Amino acid sequence: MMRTYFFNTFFLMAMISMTACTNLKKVQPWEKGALAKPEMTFDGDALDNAYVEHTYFSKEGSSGGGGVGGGGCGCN
Amino acid sequence: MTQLKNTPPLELGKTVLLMAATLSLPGINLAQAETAPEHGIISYKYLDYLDAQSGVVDSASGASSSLSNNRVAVKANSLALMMPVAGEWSVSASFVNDAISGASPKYHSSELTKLKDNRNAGNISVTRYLPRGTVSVGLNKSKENDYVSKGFSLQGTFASEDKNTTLNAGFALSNDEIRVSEYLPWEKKQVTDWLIGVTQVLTIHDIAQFNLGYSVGNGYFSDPYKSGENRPESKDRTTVLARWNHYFKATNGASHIGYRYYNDTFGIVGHTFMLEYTQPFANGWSVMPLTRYYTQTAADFYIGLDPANPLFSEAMSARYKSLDQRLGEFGAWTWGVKVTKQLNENWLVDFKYEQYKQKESWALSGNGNGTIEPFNFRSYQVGISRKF
Repeated sequence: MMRTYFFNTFFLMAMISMTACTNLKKVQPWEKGALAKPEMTFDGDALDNAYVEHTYFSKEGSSGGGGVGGGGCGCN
Repeated sequence: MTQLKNTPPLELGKTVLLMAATLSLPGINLAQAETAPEHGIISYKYLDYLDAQSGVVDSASGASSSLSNNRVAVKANSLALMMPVAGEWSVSASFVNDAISGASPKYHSSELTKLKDNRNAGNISVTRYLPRGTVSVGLNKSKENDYVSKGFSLQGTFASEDKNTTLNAGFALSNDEIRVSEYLPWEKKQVTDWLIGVTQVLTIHDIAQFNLGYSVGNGYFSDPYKSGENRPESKDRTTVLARWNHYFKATNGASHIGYRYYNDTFGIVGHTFMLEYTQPFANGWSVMPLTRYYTQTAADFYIGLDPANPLFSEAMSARYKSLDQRLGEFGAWTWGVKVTKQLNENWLVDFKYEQYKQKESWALSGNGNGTIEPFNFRSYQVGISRKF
Protein backbone atom coordinates (compact mmCIF):
# COMPACT_ATOMS: atom_id res chain seq x y z
CA MET A 1 0.00 0.00 0.00
CA MET A 2 2.79 2.35 1.06
CA ARG A 3 4.77 1.39 -2.04
CA THR A 4 1.82 2.04 -4.40
CA TYR A 5 1.32 5.44 -2.78
CA PHE A 6 5.01 6.19 -3.14
CA PHE A 7 5.21 5.27 -6.82
CA ASN A 8 2.04 7.24 -7.60
CA THR A 9 3.64 10.24 -5.90
CA PHE A 10 6.82 9.75 -7.90
CA PHE A 11 5.05 9.61 -11.24
CA LEU A 12 2.99 12.67 -10.36
CA MET A 13 6.21 14.53 -9.47
CA ALA A 14 7.86 13.31 -12.68
CA MET A 15 4.93 14.54 -14.78
CA ILE A 16 4.95 17.94 -13.06
CA SER A 17 8.73 18.16 -13.62
CA MET A 18 8.37 17.25 -17.30
CA THR A 19 5.62 19.81 -17.77
CA ALA A 20 7.77 22.42 -16.05
CA CYS A 21 10.77 21.49 -18.20
CA THR A 22 8.84 21.95 -21.44
CA ASN A 23 8.32 25.59 -20.42
CA LEU A 24 12.04 26.20 -19.91
CA LYS A 25 13.87 28.48 -22.30
CA LYS A 26 16.04 26.24 -24.46
CA VAL A 27 19.72 26.62 -23.57
CA GLN A 28 21.89 26.68 -26.71
CA PRO A 29 25.21 24.77 -27.00
CA TRP A 30 27.26 27.98 -26.99
CA GLU A 31 25.55 29.08 -23.75
CA LYS A 32 26.84 26.07 -21.80
CA GLY A 33 30.27 27.40 -20.81
CA ALA A 34 29.35 27.67 -17.11
CA LEU A 35 27.53 24.32 -17.10
CA ALA A 36 30.61 22.63 -18.57
CA LYS A 37 32.85 23.59 -15.64
CA PRO A 38 34.02 20.55 -13.62
CA GLU A 39 32.40 21.89 -10.43
CA MET A 40 29.01 21.92 -12.19
CA THR A 41 28.96 18.18 -12.86
CA PHE A 42 27.17 15.73 -10.57
CA ASP A 43 29.92 13.10 -10.78
CA GLY A 44 32.60 15.02 -8.89
CA ASP A 45 35.71 13.32 -7.52
CA ALA A 46 35.11 9.55 -7.84
CA LEU A 47 37.60 8.44 -5.15
CA ASP A 48 36.36 11.10 -2.71
CA ASN A 49 32.74 10.03 -3.34
CA ALA A 50 33.63 6.37 -2.85
CA TYR A 51 35.26 7.06 0.55
CA VAL A 52 32.39 9.25 1.73
CA GLU A 53 29.63 6.87 0.59
CA HIS A 54 31.42 3.91 2.14
CA THR A 55 31.80 5.76 5.45
CA TYR A 56 28.12 6.74 5.64
CA PHE A 57 27.07 3.26 4.50
CA SER A 58 28.90 1.80 7.50
CA LYS A 59 27.45 4.25 10.06
CA GLU A 60 23.89 5.02 8.96
CA GLY A 61 20.75 3.11 7.94
CA SER A 62 20.33 4.79 4.53
CA SER A 63 22.46 4.31 1.44
CA GLY A 64 22.42 4.65 -2.36
CA GLY A 65 20.54 7.08 -4.56
CA GLY A 66 23.31 8.35 -6.82
CA GLY A 67 24.02 5.22 -8.85
CA VAL A 68 24.01 1.44 -8.88
CA GLY A 69 26.69 -1.15 -8.16
CA GLY A 70 29.73 -0.80 -5.96
CA GLY A 71 29.18 -3.95 -3.95
CA GLY A 72 28.65 -4.72 -0.29
CA CYS A 73 31.02 -5.04 2.60
CA GLY A 74 31.08 -6.44 6.12
CA CYS A 75 30.94 -2.96 7.62
CA ASN A 76 27.17 -2.80 7.96
CA MET B 1 20.16 26.83 -38.88
CA THR B 2 16.78 28.32 -39.77
CA GLN B 3 17.38 31.00 -37.16
CA LEU B 4 20.89 31.71 -38.48
CA LYS B 5 19.60 32.45 -42.00
CA ASN B 6 17.95 35.65 -40.79
CA THR B 7 20.85 36.75 -38.59
CA PRO B 8 22.89 39.81 -39.69
CA PRO B 9 26.41 38.87 -40.98
CA LEU B 10 28.26 40.48 -38.02
CA GLU B 11 26.05 38.72 -35.45
CA LEU B 12 26.35 35.44 -37.38
CA GLY B 13 30.15 35.73 -37.27
CA LYS B 14 30.08 36.31 -33.49
CA THR B 15 27.75 33.34 -32.99
CA VAL B 16 29.90 30.99 -35.05
CA LEU B 17 33.05 32.15 -33.20
CA LEU B 18 31.33 31.61 -29.86
CA MET B 19 30.17 28.15 -30.87
CA ALA B 20 33.64 27.25 -32.13
CA ALA B 21 35.25 28.59 -28.94
CA THR B 22 32.83 26.63 -26.75
CA LEU B 23 33.23 23.38 -28.63
CA SER B 24 37.02 23.60 -28.68
CA LEU B 25 37.42 23.91 -24.89
CA PRO B 26 39.58 21.00 -23.72
CA GLY B 27 37.62 18.17 -22.15
CA ILE B 28 34.37 20.06 -22.37
CA ASN B 29 31.34 18.23 -21.13
CA LEU B 30 28.37 19.66 -23.00
CA ALA B 31 26.18 19.99 -19.94
CA GLN B 32 26.47 16.44 -18.72
CA ALA B 33 25.62 14.71 -22.02
CA GLU B 34 28.71 12.55 -21.95
CA THR B 35 31.16 12.66 -24.81
CA ALA B 36 34.13 10.34 -25.24
CA PRO B 37 37.08 11.57 -23.13
CA GLU B 38 40.14 12.92 -24.93
CA HIS B 39 42.52 12.32 -22.03
CA GLY B 40 43.13 9.62 -19.47
CA ILE B 41 43.32 10.29 -15.72
CA ILE B 42 45.18 8.46 -13.01
CA SER B 43 44.34 9.31 -9.38
CA TYR B 44 45.52 8.30 -5.94
CA LYS B 45 43.84 9.14 -2.64
CA TYR B 46 44.65 8.41 0.99
CA LEU B 47 42.01 8.37 3.73
CA ASP B 48 42.58 8.57 7.47
CA TYR B 49 39.42 7.92 9.52
CA LEU B 50 38.98 7.80 13.28
CA ASP B 51 35.73 7.50 15.23
CA ALA B 52 34.97 8.00 18.91
CA GLN B 53 32.15 7.57 21.40
CA SER B 54 32.30 8.35 25.09
CA GLY B 55 30.61 6.29 27.75
CA VAL B 56 31.48 2.95 26.23
CA VAL B 57 32.28 -0.03 28.42
CA ASP B 58 35.35 -2.05 27.67
CA SER B 59 34.55 -5.76 27.77
CA ALA B 60 38.01 -6.56 29.08
CA SER B 61 38.05 -4.19 32.04
CA GLY B 62 34.28 -3.75 32.45
CA ALA B 63 34.85 -0.06 33.11
CA SER B 64 34.29 3.08 31.19
CA SER B 65 37.50 4.93 30.43
CA SER B 66 38.69 7.79 28.32
CA LEU B 67 41.06 5.40 26.58
CA SER B 68 38.12 3.60 25.05
CA ASN B 69 36.70 6.78 23.49
CA ASN B 70 38.61 6.20 20.29
CA ARG B 71 37.13 3.17 18.62
CA VAL B 72 37.72 2.36 14.97
CA ALA B 73 40.58 3.67 12.85
CA VAL B 74 40.73 3.16 9.09
CA LYS B 75 43.66 3.94 6.86
CA ALA B 76 42.79 3.50 3.20
CA ASN B 77 44.66 3.84 -0.08
CA SER B 78 42.85 3.97 -3.40
CA LEU B 79 43.94 4.21 -6.99
CA ALA B 80 41.80 4.92 -10.07
CA LEU B 81 42.57 4.89 -13.76
CA MET B 82 40.43 6.03 -16.69
CA MET B 83 41.69 5.59 -20.24
CA PRO B 84 40.07 6.58 -23.54
CA VAL B 85 40.21 3.82 -26.14
CA ALA B 86 39.81 4.23 -29.91
CA GLY B 87 37.90 7.51 -29.65
CA GLU B 88 34.55 5.95 -28.76
CA TRP B 89 35.35 3.84 -25.71
CA SER B 90 36.82 4.25 -22.26
CA VAL B 91 38.02 1.78 -19.65
CA SER B 92 37.95 2.64 -15.93
CA ALA B 93 39.39 0.67 -13.07
CA SER B 94 39.86 1.37 -9.39
CA PHE B 95 41.30 -0.40 -6.40
CA VAL B 96 41.03 0.32 -2.68
CA ASN B 97 42.66 -1.18 0.38
CA ASP B 98 41.22 -0.45 3.85
CA ALA B 99 43.18 -1.33 6.98
CA ILE B 100 40.69 -1.36 9.85
CA SER B 101 41.63 -1.60 13.53
CA GLY B 102 40.16 -0.75 16.92
CA ALA B 103 37.07 -1.92 18.73
CA SER B 104 33.37 -2.19 17.96
CA PRO B 105 30.45 -2.45 20.44
CA LYS B 106 28.44 -5.68 20.66
CA TYR B 107 25.25 -3.72 21.38
CA HIS B 108 24.41 0.00 21.54
CA SER B 109 27.70 1.55 22.66
CA SER B 110 28.57 -1.24 25.08
CA GLU B 111 30.80 -4.29 25.34
CA LEU B 112 33.61 -3.28 23.06
CA THR B 113 35.30 -6.06 21.17
CA LYS B 114 38.62 -5.68 19.42
CA LEU B 115 38.66 -5.90 15.66
CA LYS B 116 41.26 -5.91 12.94
CA ASP B 117 40.53 -6.42 9.27
CA ASN B 118 41.82 -5.68 5.84
CA ARG B 119 39.55 -5.06 2.86
CA ASN B 120 40.61 -5.14 -0.77
CA ALA B 121 38.08 -4.03 -3.35
CA GLY B 122 38.31 -3.34 -7.05
CA ASN B 123 36.13 -2.62 -10.00
CA ILE B 124 36.50 -2.36 -13.74
CA SER B 125 34.07 -0.88 -16.24
CA VAL B 126 33.94 -0.34 -19.98
CA THR B 127 31.96 2.53 -21.49
CA ARG B 128 30.86 2.90 -25.11
CA TYR B 129 30.12 6.49 -26.21
CA LEU B 130 27.37 6.88 -28.80
CA PRO B 131 26.28 10.10 -30.52
CA ARG B 132 23.52 10.67 -27.97
CA GLY B 133 24.32 8.40 -25.10
CA THR B 134 26.53 5.93 -23.31
CA VAL B 135 26.44 2.28 -22.27
CA SER B 136 28.63 1.02 -19.41
CA VAL B 137 29.25 -2.48 -18.13
CA GLY B 138 31.08 -3.03 -14.86
CA LEU B 139 32.34 -5.75 -12.55
CA ASN B 140 33.34 -5.33 -8.92
CA LYS B 141 34.70 -7.44 -6.10
CA SER B 142 35.32 -6.75 -2.42
CA LYS B 143 37.10 -9.16 -0.08
CA GLU B 144 37.58 -9.25 3.68
CA ASN B 145 38.40 -12.16 5.98
CA ASP B 146 34.73 -12.62 6.76
CA TYR B 147 32.94 -11.05 3.78
CA VAL B 148 33.17 -11.43 0.01
CA SER B 149 31.05 -9.43 -2.44
CA LYS B 150 30.94 -9.88 -6.21
CA GLY B 151 28.88 -7.60 -8.40
CA PHE B 152 27.88 -6.75 -11.96
CA SER B 153 26.40 -3.48 -13.22
CA LEU B 154 24.90 -2.16 -16.44
CA GLN B 155 24.19 1.53 -16.94
CA GLY B 156 23.09 3.70 -19.81
CA THR B 157 22.38 7.33 -20.66
CA PHE B 158 20.35 8.83 -23.49
CA ALA B 159 20.35 12.55 -24.32
CA SER B 160 17.75 14.64 -26.13
CA GLU B 161 18.75 16.13 -29.48
CA ASP B 162 19.66 19.48 -27.88
CA LYS B 163 21.46 17.59 -25.06
CA ASN B 164 19.56 19.58 -22.44
CA THR B 165 17.82 16.49 -21.09
CA THR B 166 19.62 13.23 -20.30
CA LEU B 167 17.83 10.10 -19.15
CA ASN B 168 19.79 7.51 -17.24
CA ALA B 169 19.05 3.97 -16.15
CA GLY B 170 21.05 1.39 -14.25
CA PHE B 171 20.89 -2.19 -13.05
CA ALA B 172 23.25 -3.96 -10.66
CA LEU B 173 23.44 -7.38 -9.10
CA SER B 174 25.52 -8.23 -6.05
CA ASN B 175 26.20 -11.69 -4.60
CA ASP B 176 27.70 -11.59 -1.12
CA GLU B 177 29.00 -14.30 1.22
CA ILE B 178 29.32 -13.73 4.96
CA ARG B 179 31.26 -15.78 7.49
CA VAL B 180 29.17 -15.82 10.69
CA SER B 181 31.29 -18.35 12.56
CA GLU B 182 34.32 -20.46 11.84
CA TYR B 183 32.21 -23.54 12.58
CA LEU B 184 29.29 -22.78 10.28
CA PRO B 185 28.93 -22.55 6.49
CA TRP B 186 29.11 -19.05 5.02
CA GLU B 187 25.77 -17.22 4.73
CA LYS B 188 24.64 -15.66 1.45
CA LYS B 189 23.00 -12.41 0.42
CA GLN B 190 21.82 -11.24 -2.99
CA VAL B 191 20.94 -7.62 -3.78
CA THR B 192 19.48 -6.32 -7.06
CA ASP B 193 19.42 -2.55 -7.71
CA TRP B 194 17.52 -0.55 -10.33
CA LEU B 195 17.85 3.16 -10.95
CA ILE B 196 16.17 5.56 -13.37
CA GLY B 197 16.75 9.27 -13.54
CA VAL B 198 16.79 12.46 -15.52
CA THR B 199 19.32 15.29 -15.69
CA GLN B 200 17.91 18.57 -16.98
CA VAL B 201 19.58 21.83 -18.00
CA LEU B 202 17.31 24.46 -16.46
CA THR B 203 19.08 27.70 -17.40
CA ILE B 204 22.56 28.70 -18.55
CA HIS B 205 23.56 28.59 -14.86
CA ASP B 206 21.41 25.78 -13.46
CA ILE B 207 21.27 22.04 -13.87
CA ALA B 208 19.19 19.55 -11.88
CA GLN B 209 19.02 15.79 -11.48
CA PHE B 210 16.27 13.53 -10.23
CA ASN B 211 16.86 9.80 -9.57
CA LEU B 212 14.60 7.02 -8.37
CA GLY B 213 16.27 3.88 -7.03
CA TYR B 214 14.80 0.58 -5.99
CA SER B 215 16.60 -2.38 -4.51
CA VAL B 216 15.56 -5.91 -3.56
CA GLY B 217 17.71 -7.87 -1.14
CA ASN B 218 17.43 -11.44 0.12
CA GLY B 219 19.63 -13.41 2.48
CA TYR B 220 21.65 -12.70 5.59
CA PHE B 221 21.29 -9.08 6.76
CA SER B 222 22.35 -9.50 10.40
CA ASP B 223 25.68 -8.48 11.84
CA PRO B 224 27.44 -11.59 13.22
CA TYR B 225 29.48 -9.48 15.65
CA LYS B 226 26.45 -8.06 17.49
CA SER B 227 24.79 -9.64 20.51
CA GLY B 228 21.12 -10.65 20.43
CA GLU B 229 20.84 -9.84 16.75
CA ASN B 230 18.38 -11.32 14.27
CA ARG B 231 17.33 -9.13 11.34
CA PRO B 232 14.78 -10.09 8.64
CA GLU B 233 16.03 -12.19 5.69
CA SER B 234 14.92 -9.64 3.13
CA LYS B 235 15.36 -5.91 2.73
CA ASP B 236 13.94 -3.76 -0.07
CA ARG B 237 15.04 -0.14 -0.37
CA THR B 238 13.63 2.88 -2.18
CA THR B 239 15.58 6.08 -2.76
CA VAL B 240 14.69 9.39 -4.35
CA LEU B 241 17.56 11.77 -4.98
CA ALA B 242 17.18 15.37 -6.14
CA ARG B 243 20.24 17.52 -6.86
CA TRP B 244 20.63 21.04 -8.14
CA ASN B 245 23.87 22.77 -9.16
CA HIS B 246 23.93 26.55 -9.60
CA TYR B 247 26.70 28.71 -11.01
CA PHE B 248 27.22 32.19 -9.53
CA LYS B 249 28.46 34.52 -12.24
CA ALA B 250 29.45 37.22 -9.72
CA THR B 251 31.86 34.95 -7.81
CA ASN B 252 32.59 32.29 -10.46
CA GLY B 253 31.58 29.77 -7.76
CA ALA B 254 29.13 26.88 -7.83
CA SER B 255 26.69 25.56 -5.23
CA HIS B 256 25.52 21.96 -4.95
CA ILE B 257 22.25 21.35 -3.15
CA GLY B 258 20.93 17.82 -2.68
CA TYR B 259 18.19 15.94 -0.92
CA ARG B 260 17.77 12.18 -0.63
CA TYR B 261 14.69 10.36 0.61
CA TYR B 262 15.20 6.75 1.72
CA ASN B 263 12.96 4.03 3.04
CA ASP B 264 13.32 0.30 3.49
CA THR B 265 11.30 -2.69 4.59
CA PHE B 266 13.13 -2.70 7.94
CA GLY B 267 11.04 0.39 8.67
CA ILE B 268 13.83 2.97 8.40
CA VAL B 269 12.95 6.28 6.75
CA GLY B 270 15.93 8.56 6.15
CA HIS B 271 16.25 12.16 4.97
CA THR B 272 19.61 13.55 3.84
CA PHE B 273 20.25 17.22 3.05
CA MET B 274 23.53 18.22 1.39
CA LEU B 275 24.99 21.64 0.71
CA GLU B 276 28.37 22.47 -0.85
CA TYR B 277 29.85 25.59 -2.37
CA THR B 278 32.98 25.63 -4.54
CA GLN B 279 34.88 28.90 -4.79
CA PRO B 280 37.81 29.11 -7.24
CA PHE B 281 40.69 31.49 -6.48
CA ALA B 282 43.75 32.67 -8.39
CA ASN B 283 46.66 30.35 -9.25
CA GLY B 284 44.54 27.21 -9.48
CA TRP B 285 43.27 27.21 -5.88
CA SER B 286 39.73 26.20 -5.04
CA VAL B 287 37.96 25.91 -1.68
CA MET B 288 34.77 23.96 -1.03
CA PRO B 289 33.06 24.20 2.38
CA LEU B 290 30.31 21.62 2.89
CA THR B 291 27.63 20.61 5.34
CA ARG B 292 25.23 17.67 5.55
CA TYR B 293 22.33 16.82 7.80
CA TYR B 294 20.99 13.30 8.06
CA THR B 295 18.11 11.90 10.08
CA GLN B 296 16.46 8.50 10.28
CA THR B 297 13.65 6.72 12.08
CA ALA B 298 14.36 3.42 13.84
CA ALA B 299 13.92 -0.01 12.28
CA ASP B 300 10.68 -1.70 13.40
CA PHE B 301 12.63 -4.31 15.36
CA TYR B 302 15.22 -1.98 16.93
CA ILE B 303 15.43 -2.17 20.72
CA GLY B 304 16.56 1.11 22.21
CA LEU B 305 18.57 1.60 25.36
CA ASP B 306 16.25 1.51 28.37
CA PRO B 307 17.98 2.23 31.69
CA ALA B 308 14.91 0.86 33.53
CA ASN B 309 15.21 -2.46 31.73
CA PRO B 310 18.91 -3.05 31.03
CA LEU B 311 18.41 -6.66 29.93
CA PHE B 312 15.66 -5.80 27.37
CA SER B 313 14.02 -9.03 28.57
CA GLU B 314 10.61 -8.76 26.87
CA ALA B 315 11.80 -7.29 23.61
CA MET B 316 14.51 -9.91 23.24
CA SER B 317 11.89 -12.66 22.90
CA ALA B 318 10.74 -11.14 19.56
CA ARG B 319 11.68 -13.00 16.38
CA TYR B 320 13.48 -10.04 14.82
CA LYS B 321 15.57 -7.77 16.98
CA SER B 322 18.64 -5.57 16.91
CA LEU B 323 20.46 -3.45 19.46
CA ASP B 324 22.69 -1.92 16.79
CA GLN B 325 22.45 1.84 17.25
CA ARG B 326 22.85 2.37 13.49
CA LEU B 327 19.28 1.02 13.16
CA GLY B 328 17.99 3.38 15.84
CA GLU B 329 16.57 6.87 15.53
CA PHE B 330 19.06 9.72 15.32
CA GLY B 331 20.18 12.82 13.52
CA ALA B 332 23.70 13.66 12.34
CA TRP B 333 25.62 16.70 11.15
CA THR B 334 28.73 16.79 8.98
CA TRP B 335 30.94 19.83 8.47
CA GLY B 336 33.90 19.84 6.17
CA VAL B 337 36.13 21.64 3.72
CA LYS B 338 37.96 20.54 0.60
CA VAL B 339 40.88 22.47 -0.85
CA THR B 340 42.05 21.79 -4.38
CA LYS B 341 45.11 23.12 -6.18
CA GLN B 342 45.62 22.77 -9.92
CA LEU B 343 49.42 22.67 -10.16
CA ASN B 344 49.51 22.90 -13.95
CA GLU B 345 47.47 21.69 -16.89
CA ASN B 346 47.89 18.05 -15.91
CA TRP B 347 48.46 17.80 -12.16
CA LEU B 348 45.87 18.33 -9.42
CA VAL B 349 46.23 17.87 -5.65
CA ASP B 350 43.48 17.99 -3.02
CA PHE B 351 42.91 17.83 0.71
CA LYS B 352 39.60 17.27 2.49
CA TYR B 353 38.68 17.32 6.17
CA GLU B 354 35.31 16.24 7.60
CA GLN B 355 33.87 16.17 11.10
CA TYR B 356 30.72 14.16 11.91
CA LYS B 357 28.49 13.96 14.98
CA GLN B 358 25.52 11.63 15.45
CA LYS B 359 23.01 12.14 18.30
CA GLU B 360 19.66 10.56 19.11
CA SER B 361 18.25 13.94 20.15
CA TRP B 362 19.06 15.40 16.70
CA ALA B 363 16.47 13.16 15.01
CA LEU B 364 14.04 15.24 12.96
CA SER B 365 11.06 13.55 14.61
CA GLY B 366 12.33 14.62 18.02
CA ASN B 367 11.62 11.12 19.39
CA GLY B 368 15.26 10.19 20.01
CA ASN B 369 15.60 9.81 23.78
CA GLY B 370 19.29 10.68 23.96
CA THR B 371 20.28 7.81 26.22
CA ILE B 372 23.08 6.61 23.90
CA GLU B 373 26.19 8.76 23.93
CA PRO B 374 26.87 10.81 20.76
CA PHE B 375 29.01 9.14 18.11
CA ASN B 376 31.69 11.17 16.28
CA PHE B 377 34.20 10.71 13.55
CA ARG B 378 36.75 12.83 11.79
CA SER B 379 38.37 11.99 8.50
CA TYR B 380 40.84 13.56 6.15
CA GLN B 381 41.78 12.72 2.60
CA VAL B 382 44.86 13.64 0.57
CA GLY B 383 44.76 13.09 -3.16
CA ILE B 384 46.71 13.63 -6.34
CA SER B 385 45.72 13.09 -9.95
CA ARG B 386 47.34 13.43 -13.32
CA LYS B 387 45.79 13.86 -16.74
CA PHE B 388 47.61 12.17 -19.64
